[in-house]
Amino acid sequence: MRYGGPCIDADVHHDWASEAELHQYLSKEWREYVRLPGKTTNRIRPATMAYPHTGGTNKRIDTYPPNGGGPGSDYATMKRQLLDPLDVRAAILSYSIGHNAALPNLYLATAVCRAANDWSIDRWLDGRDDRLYGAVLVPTQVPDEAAAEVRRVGRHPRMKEVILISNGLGKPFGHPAYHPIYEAAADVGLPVALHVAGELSATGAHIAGGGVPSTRLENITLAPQAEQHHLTSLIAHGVFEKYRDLKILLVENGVSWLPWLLWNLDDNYRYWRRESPWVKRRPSEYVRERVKLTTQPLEDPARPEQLMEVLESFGGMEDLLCFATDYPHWDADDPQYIARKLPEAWLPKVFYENAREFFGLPKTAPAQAGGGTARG
Amino acid sequence: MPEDPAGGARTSYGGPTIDACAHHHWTNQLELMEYMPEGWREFLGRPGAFPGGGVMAAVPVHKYQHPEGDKLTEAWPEAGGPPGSDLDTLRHQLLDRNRLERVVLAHDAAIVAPTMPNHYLALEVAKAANTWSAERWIGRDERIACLAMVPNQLPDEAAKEIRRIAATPGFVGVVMGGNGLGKPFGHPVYHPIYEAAAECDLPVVLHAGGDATPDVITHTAGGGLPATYAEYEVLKAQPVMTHLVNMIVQGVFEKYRGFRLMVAGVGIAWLPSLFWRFDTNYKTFRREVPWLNRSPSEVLWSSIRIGTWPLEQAPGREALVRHMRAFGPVEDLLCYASGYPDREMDPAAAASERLPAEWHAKVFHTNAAGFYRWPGGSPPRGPGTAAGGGTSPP
Repeated sequence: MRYGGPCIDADVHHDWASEAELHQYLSKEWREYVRLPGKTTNRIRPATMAYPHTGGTNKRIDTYPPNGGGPGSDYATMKRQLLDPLDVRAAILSYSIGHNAALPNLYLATAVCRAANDWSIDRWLDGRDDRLYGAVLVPTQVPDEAAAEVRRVGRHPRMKEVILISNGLGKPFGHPAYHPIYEAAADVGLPVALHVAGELSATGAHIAGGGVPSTRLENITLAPQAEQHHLTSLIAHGVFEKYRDLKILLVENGVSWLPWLLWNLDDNYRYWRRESPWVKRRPSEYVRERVKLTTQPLEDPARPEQLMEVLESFGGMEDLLCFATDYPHWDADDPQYIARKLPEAWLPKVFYENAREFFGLPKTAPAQAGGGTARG
Repeated sequence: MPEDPAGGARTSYGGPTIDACAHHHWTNQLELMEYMPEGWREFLGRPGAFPGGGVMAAVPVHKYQHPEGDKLTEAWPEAGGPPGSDLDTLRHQLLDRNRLERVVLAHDAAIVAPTMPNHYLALEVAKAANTWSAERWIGRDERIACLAMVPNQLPDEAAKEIRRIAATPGFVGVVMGGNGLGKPFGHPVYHPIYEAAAECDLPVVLHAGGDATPDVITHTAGGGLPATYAEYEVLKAQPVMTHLVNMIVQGVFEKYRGFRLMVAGVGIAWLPSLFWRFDTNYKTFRREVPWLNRSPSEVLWSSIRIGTWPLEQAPGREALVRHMRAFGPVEDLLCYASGYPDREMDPAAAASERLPAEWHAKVFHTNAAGFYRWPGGSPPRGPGTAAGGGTSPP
């Protein structure tokens, strides 16, 4: 085994076993709205574009719990498959996938986000397992409501990030319309994670430039485009200047495009001096200070040295990466797989220390809940 | 002479150079309209026909403007007209100064003409633009070659236009940028274009900037629309990446063997991350694309080239080369392109300083020599090049 130490998993998807489980956390009026007569309900997640995955599921087949819920819905299964064997000292639970926030009805979207946060606190962050931490899901379509939600639950001791899933206004995330969210996150001391999949719900932004692709293969290949844009936009509109302690996590888009983006943004810094009042430092400086990227899905060239050459051409990547499995998705990364691709000297940072510092987790991490041998 | 620790001395390249992508433009719209039928000239009108106006604009307007001006200040011709409109200025500033053996002129802002909502007019503009190129540029200087504009919003008309201009040897390829139909360029609706191009041995150059007019329903980036030029300028690579991925996935290179594509105006450093992700996901999603029986990278090496402009200004001399070498022998993929007269253009000497000397012959000559359909059926000859160059299409 190349890495025998502890890890923090910055992206784990937990889920309700059925929508009925979440309905309990809605107000009486919304419960009545979603529960229709007979066996149907009104959806609490939006329609998404038709890019079906092989087999109709994008989860690992082995993660379906024996008791009938979907992957990520059963704590015992998650503990058995992920938390214990991987020596996870902290896992950030980020919904499956939280695109409820992209519901067209902004009032329902707001209600479902609140319910999801309450459900998460009640069912997962209740102290049953000190390794579990949560994310504040927010309705980005109404930034003031999103900010209110951040302030409502963001100070819960187990909430460790605000998570943005969908682009509710069709503008990239640096746009001033979204700034109330960052202000609230800064007020409660939480970083903001971008885990963008909401373009799939056709909220106004597109998954990729140049037209809507035909296949899931294209969609997943081009998926980093949105977060590349959001990072660019956060810089352009001064989010790092206005909110001096705010940190950003870019989730689930790989890492090897960062040199391309930042070389270009640094080169264009001189134009921003004239176009925007907000770009006071080189873009790459903001990123090195305030931004982290999750490793998954780590790029997979034929030889690991190829990936390292790209990362080293930029330098300092060992400080920017946070390990994530993305359990229980089909393309979840195993820690040993990642460990083989990165220099041994990087591993304690990538697997543990970068995330520990980023999320403000205590230095002494708990041993495994329920006993068992803590490794490392 | 600066030493390149990665191997090879870094010098200015002194050999024969092909500029794979620069830009030409008409002096004013009337110059273009000379090549339109009388009825269209009458429809469009004439400047000054009435106070304050008289003529309809024939080309959509770009949304994003460079804060220092889109074009090099010095490129504005003394005699008037926009940059790229005067042959003598272009000769002096581009052909002579860069000591070019050939330059390929790819239109300028007009590449978005096919996106115009009035597709009848878009068709006329494309046809007139090609006739204008043939009469005003081709043959005026033996170093000049042109790309034909295609009215891609009407793919059958575009195919017809390709077959028409193919008879003029000075057209060495076809340029596309603006997207008239709102689907990525690999969609089957566009395939008549590639069929005609392959049949005529004309490669297609896919140029940046086509999604940045209000006329298109496609976006110039994922995740929303950029506010500033600085954002737009970097993210404009994204639609080109989408088209590239889509064209490979939709089997354009499988259906039309011999078809070749270049992407231009988007730099080069995005290549490793995109194709690594693409190759990995191809393995998972093969069932979705049963007609694609080779990996995306195999298609890339075989049939796709990358215009170098604008080269990423990574810090120091080594970072960009190290980054690109990680992907593979990219010296076989890159074709030097100046982007003249764009403000971000790369003069040949400056580009040569950033690339290893052992890449120079390929990047500055061999690759482009083997890519375009040169007049006379044979590529320009640099020193030591085998006939057909090192990267001839299959």
